Amino acid sequence: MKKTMSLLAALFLMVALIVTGCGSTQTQTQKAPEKMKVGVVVKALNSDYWKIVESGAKAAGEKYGVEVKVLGPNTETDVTGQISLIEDQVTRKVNALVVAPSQAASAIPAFNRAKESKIPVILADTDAAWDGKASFVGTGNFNGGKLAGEYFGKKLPKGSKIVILRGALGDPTHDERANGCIEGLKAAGLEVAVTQPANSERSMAVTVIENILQSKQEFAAVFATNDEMALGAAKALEDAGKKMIVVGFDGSPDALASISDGKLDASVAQSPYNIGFKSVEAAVKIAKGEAIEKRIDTGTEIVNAENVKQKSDDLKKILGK
Amino acid sequence: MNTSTPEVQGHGGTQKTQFRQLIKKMGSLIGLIGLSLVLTFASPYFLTMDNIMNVARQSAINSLIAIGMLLAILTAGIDLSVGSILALSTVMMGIVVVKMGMSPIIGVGVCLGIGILLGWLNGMMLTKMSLPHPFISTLGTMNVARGLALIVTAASPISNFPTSIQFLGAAFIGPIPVSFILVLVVYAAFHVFLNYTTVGRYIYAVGGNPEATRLSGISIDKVLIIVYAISGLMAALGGLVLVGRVNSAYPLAGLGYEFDAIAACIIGGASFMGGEGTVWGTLIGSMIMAVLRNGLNLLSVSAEMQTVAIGIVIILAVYIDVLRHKAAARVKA
Amino acid sequence: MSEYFLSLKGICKRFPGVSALTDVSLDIKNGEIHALCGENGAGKSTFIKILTGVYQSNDGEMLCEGKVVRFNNTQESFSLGITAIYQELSILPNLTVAENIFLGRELRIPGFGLLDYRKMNHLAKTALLELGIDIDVTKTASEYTMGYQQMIEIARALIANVKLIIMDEPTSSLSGREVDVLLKNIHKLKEKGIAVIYISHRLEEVLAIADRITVIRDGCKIGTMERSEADEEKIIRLMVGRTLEEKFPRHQAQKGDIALRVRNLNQRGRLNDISFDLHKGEVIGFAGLVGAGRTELARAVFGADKIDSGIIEIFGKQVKINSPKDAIHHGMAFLTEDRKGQGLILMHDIIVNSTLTGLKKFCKFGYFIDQKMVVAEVDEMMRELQIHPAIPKMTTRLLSGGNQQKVVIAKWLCSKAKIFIFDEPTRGIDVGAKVEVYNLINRLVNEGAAVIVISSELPEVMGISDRILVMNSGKITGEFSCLEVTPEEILKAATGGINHEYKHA
Repeated sequence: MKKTMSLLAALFLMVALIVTGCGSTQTQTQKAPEKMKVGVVVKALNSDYWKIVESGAKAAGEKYGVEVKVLGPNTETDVTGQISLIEDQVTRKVNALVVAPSQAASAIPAFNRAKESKIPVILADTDAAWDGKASFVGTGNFNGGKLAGEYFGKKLPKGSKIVILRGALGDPTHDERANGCIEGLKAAGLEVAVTQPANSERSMAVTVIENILQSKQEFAAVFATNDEMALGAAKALEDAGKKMIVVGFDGSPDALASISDGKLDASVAQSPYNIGFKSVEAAVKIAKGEAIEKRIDTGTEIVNAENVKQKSDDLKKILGK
Repeated sequence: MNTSTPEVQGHGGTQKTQFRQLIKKMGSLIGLIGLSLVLTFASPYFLTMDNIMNVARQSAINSLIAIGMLLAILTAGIDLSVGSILALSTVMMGIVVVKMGMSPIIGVGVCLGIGILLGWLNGMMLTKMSLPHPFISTLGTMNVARGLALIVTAASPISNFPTSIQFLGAAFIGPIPVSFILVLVVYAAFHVFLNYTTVGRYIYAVGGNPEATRLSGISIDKVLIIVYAISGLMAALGGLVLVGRVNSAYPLAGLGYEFDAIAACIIGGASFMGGEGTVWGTLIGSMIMAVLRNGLNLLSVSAEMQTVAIGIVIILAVYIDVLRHKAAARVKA
Repeated sequence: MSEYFLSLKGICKRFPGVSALTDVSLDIKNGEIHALCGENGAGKSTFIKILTGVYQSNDGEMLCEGKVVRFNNTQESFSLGITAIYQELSILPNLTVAENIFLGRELRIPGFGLLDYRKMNHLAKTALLELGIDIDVTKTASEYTMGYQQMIEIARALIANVKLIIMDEPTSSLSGREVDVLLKNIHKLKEKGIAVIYISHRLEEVLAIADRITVIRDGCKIGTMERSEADEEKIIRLMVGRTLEEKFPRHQAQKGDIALRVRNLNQRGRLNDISFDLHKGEVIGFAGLVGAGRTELARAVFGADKIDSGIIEIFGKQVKINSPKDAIHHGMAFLTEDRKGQGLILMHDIIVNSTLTGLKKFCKFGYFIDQKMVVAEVDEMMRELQIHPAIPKMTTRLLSGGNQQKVVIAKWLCSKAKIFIFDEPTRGIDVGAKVEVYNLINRLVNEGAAVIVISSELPEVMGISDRILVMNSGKITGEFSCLEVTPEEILKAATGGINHEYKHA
């Protein structure tokens, strides 16, 4: 029985350690209660993309002297986990909330709760059909996809066929990117060979491309709705001894490095840093009672061999901090 | 949650056993109280009415699924398909109600009906097809149901349910969320079911010693089929709450919920070997997980760290269980 | 160097509540074949387990080649050249014959550490050829019959240069021809100077090969004799021992109508045309060797295993029994031989276990159990059966064997059964508790129940039954009234003609 008790004690100690480990910042805020708090809830914190959003948000926090906490569930599919995070930020009585909803419609009840508690909500990266939002900060994934489609139009002859690799079925971000690309391709007179999900993973993308090559299907280029899959596709093509245009999405550090090496052709870069920075900036403003625009555009651009050097220097600066 | 009071005093030699049983029943409750105390000191927001109701709501879905899972675990089985059953039953409800415009009552019937049906199939595959372990049958169902959910929705979410369907997941009575009231009612019903009905007792017996149970004239197949059907039903009920909570049904809902439900049972003292585990222990297990996540959220601890913490809690909880069993074995020897 | 390889002096072994061996002394000569005879439960298995280091003795000492030794595990005994071959063979069916022979002592190519298969296969082949067996050692062991697998085990012992091989019922699952081969090889072992302790129920085998014979009974050594002084009658007399009356109280009931009638029951490979009648107020004892088919018969009658053909009538009505549920519905009860594995839910308490079968009768409104009624009934049963400690919430794991058996009996009393089948009702129970169990059986009979008792302890069967049916190889080979039968007659019926009857296996 003693042993059981000592184990229970160890359990408490562990929790206490976790708590105090992160509690140091907590005590600071308690000493200076006038400091404004902005809660940022993103889709997940497991990719470079969201890490860059986080550093943008933190930078804005520093600039305006507010406390910024960036949180996200373990995976982008954990919809209810994200909703719990939003609710808990409301409980924490933050002055303003920035949310990148994993599934827009699902988060609306949680947004309404925030509004009832008089906490303004800024949507970042992914928009939602919710009238109560203070603003939407982002580019729209659809436009980014379309940009990629048009890019293929410039690089390839009419009638060429493109393979599209997308994230998990049911993820609206990837729906938008893929649909945007398809529209861009059509406008440029190109065709879609096949659309296949590769669950946003590099290894799965390798497998999918290998299978497509096996099927002897003809295609001239690959578009992937994120960089991880694009890198997987490039790897599979390289192993098969094929040289093809592969375009990714996100402008992640790995992708930029690969573009510099001449393996990946291009990546659609959303400026995640700006999404983080500008959404917190908007949150601070609205919390102070200043007016902000309903729609704040952070821009998209194609990064390829021509501008990759400058882009990666910028990125190093951001992530290096 | 007065799960137990010292029952038999005065049996001098067995007081120690009594005490041990008390600890066994109360162990996880002590854990929950201790955890809450630590969090109360750590965060000023933790012990507020608002936040307690938060935890009550956040734990509701897992609590509902876990009580179904408990039945499977009591029979020394497991139900991996609960997350997928939740997804398929709710998207089918979405199709019936939102897309086809049928009455919400029919929708709820479809939702719960699909839950029972899939659970029943799990049970039939386990017993009549003699698949060697419920791991197999429910793993199969898990994939089939998830795939079907993606197919019928063309992989996109279904939103804008009528408020009547959202009642369970979104409404409040006074300050108390309906979902939590539902949990308490369901748990009370399961307490009666498991302790005061023959089938309930047989569920414990099957897990404790299937051969002895069979030779006592009990149809194990029937018991198992009931168990998995109820587990499916509870997954669908959890789905109903989820739909109210997020105002939509989507094919990837409930991904990984089976593991949260298993964890709640195990933290609550259920034995993976079957035959042991209580309704209230499972509720406490589910609450411990919700409180831990909520508390760490309030303290802005990252999701990665939370996952680590929950993993450690599971291992510690089971290790305590192992030590308890070893202590019991020593008494015997 | 003494002529004895192994000497045991005053070995005692006690288990909680039971004394398994008392003051046993025995010498094993180098290269002799020493047979060990005794009834089931006489202490033979315990004795072997002490020799091989599975158990440790509480008292007494063991000398191996003149030196005092004490084995803490089987590796220690093995390193001194002692090994045992059990009824259940320890062959790994998925490994090759050679791999089995060299298991744990694999040969390696010097300097490389890789397995030297060529050498192992060669040596394995040689060892088997010495035993007169020519098989492909690179095939998996599962391809060979039990008889060959036993030879593989012996070859394994040869390769390891053992000095003493203990064989526990080695012929129980062999065909007649295989038995001959085995006995021939035991002689070869002897020529190589290897001693053999041979344990068998089949006295003709014992008399055919043993140099000396030791009989033990109730944990004591009764005597050791040379082959020349022994004959079957004498061995049996020593094994069974003195009279039985005082140990076994008798019931007072009058024989009534037929409660259970079984006709032409068949189960492929196990039961062969079984017919018998069981009356109210009667106890039938089933005697026979382990594996004679008695438990199989009980399970078949109770619906636990499927039968191929046969008729079962209960109180004059023909019934269909497809599951234990049906059997219980018709008033049958089955107290299994394996109490812990099949009778009780050890992790659950007395209340749960004793009411499991009869739970339905405590239900109100069809579904809900009336706990007060349950507790009241369990309290009463515990008083009646004198279950100690009388704590309803006690987990049955913590009860002694005798009290566990009482809880199982309570379970069936609660189900209002009329026909009881007891399979080895007193196995692992100490002497005092045995009498309590016999009294309970008598009480059931006095109250009009019909009882079948399966037991491998002859005195028990003879002491409590009105009639005795003897089984051998899935057949009933003898029927006796308890008043006129002798143990010798029962043993003859149980062992008779056994070698020619085993056609399969």
